[in-house]
Amino acid sequence: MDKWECPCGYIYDPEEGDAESNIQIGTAFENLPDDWVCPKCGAEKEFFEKLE
Amino acid sequence: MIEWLIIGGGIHGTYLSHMLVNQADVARDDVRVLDPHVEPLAAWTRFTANCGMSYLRSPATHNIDIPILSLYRYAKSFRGNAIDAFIPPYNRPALDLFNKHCDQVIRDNRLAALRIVGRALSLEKNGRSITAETTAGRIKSRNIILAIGLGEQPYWPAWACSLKEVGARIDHLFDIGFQPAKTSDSSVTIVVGGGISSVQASLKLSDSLTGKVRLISRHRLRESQYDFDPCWIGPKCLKEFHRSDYGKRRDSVDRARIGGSATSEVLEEFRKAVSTGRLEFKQGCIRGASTDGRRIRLKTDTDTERADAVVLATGFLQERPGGPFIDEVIKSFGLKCGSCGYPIVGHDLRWSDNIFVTGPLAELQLGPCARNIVGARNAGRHLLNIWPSH
Repeated sequence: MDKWECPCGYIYDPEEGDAESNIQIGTAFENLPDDWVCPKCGAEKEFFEKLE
Repeated sequence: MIEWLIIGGGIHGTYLSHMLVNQADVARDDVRVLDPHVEPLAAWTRFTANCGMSYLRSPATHNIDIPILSLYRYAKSFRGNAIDAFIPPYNRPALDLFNKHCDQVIRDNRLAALRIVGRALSLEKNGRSITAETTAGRIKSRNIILAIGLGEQPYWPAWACSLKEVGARIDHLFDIGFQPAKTSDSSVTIVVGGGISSVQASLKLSDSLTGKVRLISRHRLRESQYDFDPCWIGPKCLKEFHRSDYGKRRDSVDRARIGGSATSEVLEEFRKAVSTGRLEFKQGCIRGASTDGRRIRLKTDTDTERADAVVLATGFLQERPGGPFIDEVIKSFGLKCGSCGYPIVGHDLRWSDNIFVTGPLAELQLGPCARNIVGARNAGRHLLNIWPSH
């Protein structure tokens, strides 16, 4: 599964999930809830870019 | 007449010229960047080289290209030739890689051709445009972006100014033409400061000088991976910031910037150097200084230190940048400032009908990240609000 990076530098890694927002390990970026935001800066999903 | 004149060609001015041409689709001929240095990013290159930076404190997404992942792509290309030049915890690029990437962005987008070498002297309103009086002649532009950084105001404490006046060997790391005084085996160079630049500079000087190097800091060396909490880059902290008045905004900016700290890997190298005797560290606040014409005596609150040369790594004066030029612009255009003296601007960073700001001048709108690389990117996003299609 792909990692996605926020403009602030935070990287969403499906292998880590996002415990702070109750996102389970193994959740693909595409399956994150629409209201999920970057846990570091609060940017919305649309600002993230897929890491190649 | 041109459409956009950017005054200041550092990271902010260069990035915004790129944004105007390649994101806002302004014609190249309608954008110019006025800067006193011949080379783009000259101040950045000088500061980072003088302090001996190896890795940036900011992540790879904070770069001067439009796509946020451009630096990764460059690193993977044969031109970057440095796929592993990032360090954790959040992919911070090596300075060398970052600078090569800047060169490539500037070259590929012909940004150097937009530059005019000169210094702004005054601005004058002419109907719907502005005429800039500069050392390179008069430039008429529809809009002005003030992209002036703190680079020309290195901070000299009063005791240091008195030493300089009597000809002592004291320099500031960020002075133009900074060269550490040559030393002998038995000499002592004291570095004064407590932030990442002072730690890096001490390490660099201990490599290049033959005598002893000692760092004196007012406080113990503190560890922080950031200049400020990343919440200030996005809505997490900025939403509340924008709801508060300008006095509170100034307090928030000052409190949020984690001054006097260094990253873990820099501190680790420093501690190693101290433990092997390559460097010395003393904690103390300098209360006074004198010289007998040969050696310098620094009186701290705990001790008296003697040195053959002193290097200041005391950062920049935190006053509004731009000096008399900005003072005059404020006066002649009747521009609004907060009680701290910094511009009060709109969401699109507009200070008047056709004057915009970025960098530290935009601090009361962009928050604590304003003067960093990511501040330029955020400024670009705000400025794009001018064009409804973006």
